[in-house]
Amino acid sequence: MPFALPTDFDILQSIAILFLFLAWLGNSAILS
Amino acid sequence: MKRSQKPFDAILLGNMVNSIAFFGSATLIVLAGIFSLFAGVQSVYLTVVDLPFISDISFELFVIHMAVASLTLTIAFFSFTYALRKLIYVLALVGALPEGQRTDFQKEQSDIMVKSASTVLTEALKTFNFGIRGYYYFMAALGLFVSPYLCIALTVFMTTVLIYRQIGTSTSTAINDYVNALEEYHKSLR
Repeated sequence: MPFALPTDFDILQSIAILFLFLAWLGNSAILS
Repeated sequence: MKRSQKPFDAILLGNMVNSIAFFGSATLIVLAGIFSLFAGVQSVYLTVVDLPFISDISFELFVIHMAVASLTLTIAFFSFTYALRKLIYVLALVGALPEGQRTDFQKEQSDIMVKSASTVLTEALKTFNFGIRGYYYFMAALGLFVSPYLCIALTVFMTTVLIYRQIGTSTSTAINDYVNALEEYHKSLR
């Protein structure tokens, strides 16, 4: 496989990263 | 309401341009530092995982975490450049505002121009604020190196701080009062 995520990249990691960017976008959309 | 204070407006806008440009170049310097870390990422990884409070993660995951942290600052950097671009449009729009309207038609057109210029100015500052918030979320992204739970907790904390600063402080209350008073003042002129 040319690209594979590391095995310790679990669902919690992706939730944390997604949450971070969504909070940033949501915060800017609501508060601006 | 009519006012003609172009030099004063230019000074105010010039200060905004300076502060956005400052943030843009400061972010560029930080980004240069982070991207230079990628050159020796293997040794950085070995140093960081030796720290007692850092979770035992694979090299690949460490690189992903670094990529997420640098992505937040990269987005912030591009927000600053975009805000600067919008603000430069505002300079042109404000600079070209006509003066001495005589007919009703001229006044109408002039009002549209003023409204458009203020809309672009507001958008420029919104984009600038988006970039500033990026710094807060960069700090939250650094929590990923310790634990995803810490990242989530820091994201919640940073969001709370931002909301508090936007609506809870006496500064924000004073600004709101000012805006309301200004609106009432404009209404009384009509």
